Amino acid sequence: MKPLTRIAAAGLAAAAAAVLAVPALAVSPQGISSDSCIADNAGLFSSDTEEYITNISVALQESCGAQIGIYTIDYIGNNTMEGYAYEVFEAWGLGDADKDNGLLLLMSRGDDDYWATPGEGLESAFTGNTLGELLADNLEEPWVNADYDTGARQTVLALAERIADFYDLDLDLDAVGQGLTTDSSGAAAEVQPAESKRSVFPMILLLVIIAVIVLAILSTPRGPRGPHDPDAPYAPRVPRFFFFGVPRRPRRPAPPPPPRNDRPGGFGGGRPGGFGGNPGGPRPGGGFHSGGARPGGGHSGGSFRAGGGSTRGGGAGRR
Amino acid sequence: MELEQNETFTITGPQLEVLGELEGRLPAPARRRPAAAGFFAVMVLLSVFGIGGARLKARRSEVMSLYLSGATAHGNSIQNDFSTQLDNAANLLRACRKVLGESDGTCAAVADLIARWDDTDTAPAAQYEVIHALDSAVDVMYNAAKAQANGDALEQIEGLDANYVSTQSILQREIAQSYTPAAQEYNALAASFPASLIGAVRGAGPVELYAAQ
Repeated sequence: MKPLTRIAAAGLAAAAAAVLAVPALAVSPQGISSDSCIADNAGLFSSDTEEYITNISVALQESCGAQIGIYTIDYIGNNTMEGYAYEVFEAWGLGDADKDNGLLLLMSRGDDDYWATPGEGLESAFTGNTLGELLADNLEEPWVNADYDTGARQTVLALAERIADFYDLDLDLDAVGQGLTTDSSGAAAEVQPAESKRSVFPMILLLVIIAVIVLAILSTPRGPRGPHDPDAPYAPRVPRFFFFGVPRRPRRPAPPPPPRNDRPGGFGGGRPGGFGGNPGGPRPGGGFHSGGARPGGGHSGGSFRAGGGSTRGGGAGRR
Repeated sequence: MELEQNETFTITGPQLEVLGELEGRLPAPARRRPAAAGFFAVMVLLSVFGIGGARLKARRSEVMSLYLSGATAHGNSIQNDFSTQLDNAANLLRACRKVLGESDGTCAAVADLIARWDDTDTAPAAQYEVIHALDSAVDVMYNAAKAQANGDALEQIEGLDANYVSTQSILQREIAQSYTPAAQEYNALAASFPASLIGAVRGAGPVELYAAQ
């Protein structure tokens, strides 16, 4: 067995060497998350910029399914900008899966280059010429000055406005990006986070349910009693509602209560951020948050979720 | 048990009665074994070349349809992309002529290839030859014009070249991902036996690749 063992070991070593010794010439997409529209591998952006871009991308996502993703990296290796952008886009799945209306902005600091690729559904809105002009007008000067925050914000706003035109949307995307919105009078007002807007109805529903239950308690007839200590004096049967905690004190000594069910209720009373989400106030700064705490069947508005769109490649880059 | 030469061996059974009755209706020469063997051979050939050939031809049609008419969910197809690319080339040619002049050689080369496209068969190899030449000619023309242009003219030709390059990337990727793998798979099948023989008889030979011949 010894010779066979040595041969097998040599074969395994050779195979491992062949795999591990392949030069890392081609850089694979990295740092991509389906819960974020920003993959800032090169560390170019501030948290304010990330929040701005995320706000705009989420607003588009909720309006028409379109999504803008920004991917930064130091070097793309042996790839071309167009080829690498294609790989990143396909790995990320930007845009709606049916509309394919995603758009990727790739920024490679070390290569001193950038590129934008549209999803197949946006090819007619973002020809090579259109993208090239947008990038030249909004990104080139900040890029030269290494002001990546300004360049990214301007470029994303310009791209988003074109998408809004394409879908005939009426959105003040700059205000959206800043976390502001305009009311009918045109005055800027701080917007409540999207989750809190949807908290009103669930709260009302909860109050209605509580009221119904209270009425049911008050109107419950003295029906059949559950098992109790035959020696104990008579006591009314009190319904147990777990999310109301300890039941109402009976008027007469009661038998020992049955074991409590401490599970949180289906209306999210014990779960942070459930129906109500963030009850109010500004969304905390410092970047993006996911909607993972919400119940599974609930609405996930207000957070980015890659839609599964695809691209055929193409696009335009730095002139 | 061995049969004597003049003895007959009869198989009986209700299922065979029908066949026996049919055989009885055949003319005498057809009831002989050589006739039966010949009939069997014909049936085999019909199965192999008939049914097998039909399936091979159907598969060939499927592969060619990817190149000639297959469209994505958004209505994009390889042939539509070719048309877009020729339009991009024509637009870039017009802009470059303003900078380089009507009689410029690089512009004339592009113009010739655009005209040649109209007479090119809708076939992978023929189209590849023209588009490949056009890509090179456009690149030469663009670089010549870019070196001389400035201001709005430069911006215009850069924008039109961006259109051309974008469509070029899309086209090459579409063909490489959709048509070429299917064509190579079919050609491997068509080269094997007996598909090669069937294909030769039924006109279902290998398909052209989008590449130089």
